[in-house]
Amino acid sequence: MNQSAATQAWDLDAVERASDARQEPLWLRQQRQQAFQLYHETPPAYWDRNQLPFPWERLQWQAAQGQRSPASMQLRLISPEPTLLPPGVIVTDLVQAVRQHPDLVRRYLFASALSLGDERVTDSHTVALQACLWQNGLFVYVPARVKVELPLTVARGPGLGVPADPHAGKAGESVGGPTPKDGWVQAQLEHTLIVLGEGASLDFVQQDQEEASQPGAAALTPSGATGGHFLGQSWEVYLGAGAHLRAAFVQDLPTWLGANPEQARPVYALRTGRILLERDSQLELIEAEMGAAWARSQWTAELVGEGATAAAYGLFFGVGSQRLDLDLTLSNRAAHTKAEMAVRGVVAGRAQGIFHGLGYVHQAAPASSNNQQTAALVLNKNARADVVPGLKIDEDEVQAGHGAAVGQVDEEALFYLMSRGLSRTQATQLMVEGFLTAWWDRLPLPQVRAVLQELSLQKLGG
Amino acid sequence: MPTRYSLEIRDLHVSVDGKPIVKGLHLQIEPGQVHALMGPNGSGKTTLAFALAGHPHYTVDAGQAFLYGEDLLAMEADERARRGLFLSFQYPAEVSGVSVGNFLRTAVNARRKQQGLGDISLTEFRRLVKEKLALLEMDDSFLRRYLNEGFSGGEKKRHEILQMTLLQPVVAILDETDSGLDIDALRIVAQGVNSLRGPGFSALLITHYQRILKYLQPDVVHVMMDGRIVRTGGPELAARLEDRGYEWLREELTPAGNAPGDGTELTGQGQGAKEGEA
Repeated sequence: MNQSAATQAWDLDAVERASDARQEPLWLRQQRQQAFQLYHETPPAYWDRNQLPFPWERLQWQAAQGQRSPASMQLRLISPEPTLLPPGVIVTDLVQAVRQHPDLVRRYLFASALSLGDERVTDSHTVALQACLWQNGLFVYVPARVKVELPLTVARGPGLGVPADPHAGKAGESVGGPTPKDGWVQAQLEHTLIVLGEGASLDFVQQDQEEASQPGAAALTPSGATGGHFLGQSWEVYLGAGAHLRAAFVQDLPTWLGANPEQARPVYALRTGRILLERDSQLELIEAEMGAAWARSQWTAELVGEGATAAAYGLFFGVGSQRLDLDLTLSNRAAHTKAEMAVRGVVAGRAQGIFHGLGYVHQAAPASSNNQQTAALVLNKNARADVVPGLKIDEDEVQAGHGAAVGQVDEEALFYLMSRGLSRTQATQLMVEGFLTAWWDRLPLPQVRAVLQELSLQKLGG
Repeated sequence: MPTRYSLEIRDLHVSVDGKPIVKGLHLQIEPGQVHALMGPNGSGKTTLAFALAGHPHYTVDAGQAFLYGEDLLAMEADERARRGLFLSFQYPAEVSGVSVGNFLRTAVNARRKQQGLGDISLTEFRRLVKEKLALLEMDDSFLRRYLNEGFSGGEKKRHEILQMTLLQPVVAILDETDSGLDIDALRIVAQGVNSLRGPGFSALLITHYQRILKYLQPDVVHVMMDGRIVRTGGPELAARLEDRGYEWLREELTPAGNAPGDGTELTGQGQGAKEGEA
């Protein structure tokens, strides 16, 4: 391998070489080239209160050399056993899907993620980067009228299931892969495409977790070293008429990765999802940001078919010096569509949490509703939560509203609990649990509730 | 350290936001005793209670306090509680989303851990809590409600006593647990306290009124004014206060300093308390 290429920024040649290595068809190569152009044509993303802590040019993009990211970092299907899936259901690595189901993948891949009609989507700069550089990911397809009873669970991490990509590196490789050179950010980019045919239904749970490779690594602070690990994730979801998806995306990556403390570098997670809802389809979405040193998740659900309904449940939970940014848009584009958003945030230590919510009722969406309800709890005077709800309404006959509250922890209540023998940590955990109870009670997937409850206890030192 | 007192306070000074409230208070309670602490509004009774429980807004400027000989003031609020000190709040905080049942179990386990015991089993906890609920004439559905949220005044007080009977403290401070209760509720609360009485339990009852003392029969009665205990006596002191009011005592104290004149002064050994002096 060309040693100097390893530290070069990505360019069109590198993208082409990666396509060669994966033997990609022409249409996909063209799509990547168009995305490359779009990336350079669009202005860099501006995120209110939260800029990416490194320049894009510093991405050290492994696939430029045709390498694979370590197996431990790849998404796998944890359950159910593939043989238990109904006939016609596809769950496979996206690279393989391009080969095995070319027509199906081509019909949907980045078909509406970058633009909807003439309208360019939010964060198109970021989506273009993903469309240009994605290295792996998943393809999930449920044919019309097929109902998948068992929840589909995908996760990453060593020792879990079978690699979805048999070409992936060995599981024994160091968790974060090679340590990025100073000032460079080692990137992994993946794309997941989920398609539900008419009347299909699916429960989908994706857990992004990774053991910190070094005990205590989470407590490290950068020792003047720069660089880091970048996980770029994008999703496209298509819900055919009458389809029903319940999906949860739990981001609990470590804040730092490295083979030893000196090599520990911060983890950056940039997630973006696009969901298209046809007539009478139903979406229930959970997005939980718990991990990474810097993270941003942006989801947009477009209710393009009459009678579609979308409910989004967002959570950010930051401790230490985490910076977590959640951005949700629910967009009514047809009559009789219903959108609802419930978001909770908890910040402790010196963490910062940011939430932007947008309910957008377009002109062609009479008799629609769009409601948001947000609350954040700040546990510490050095922690901070910025909550920015928003509504945009271009239609007269709608029902819409939003409410947002940011509160501090109640010192009297804390003392009351401690005066009954609970340690400060236990008392705080109980109060956070109490703060989240009403939100937990609304979550659509009970198993996700249990996971999130456990994670939130751990985050506060339980 | 061996000690003959369950709670001993020596020359305690407490201030709130820089303002001295408790100004040199002495108190000694022997195991098994119930002491009443009476006094007009603003005399510092609640401040004393919060300072003993370890509330961060109450600053101890001088003095000492011991729970069975252990230095209480060196401990955080939670450790004091785990070692068996209990404060029944006059105005307990509301914690939305936290069920009474979940909270009680967490608190019981925290206390058991201190005693070297493992977590209580769910069956045992249910049995125990059912028994205590029955004692306090409370409904099981109480456990599913959120902590103090939407509780009536009487429910809050009963809930405090429920916690006390479950946690089985060695010393309990009841801060005006009787105020605002009707006679039935008062009887029930007293029932809860009496169920704990025995050589391993002492209590300091902070109250304005004599009426709860009819149900609880204190061993010793103290009167607190302006941050100090100014008079200590037996139950008859409470009765006299009820008849003649605090003004009587104030007048009596003013001309001759703290020289008492009606035989309720300096307590004997058995009553284990002495008047505040420099």
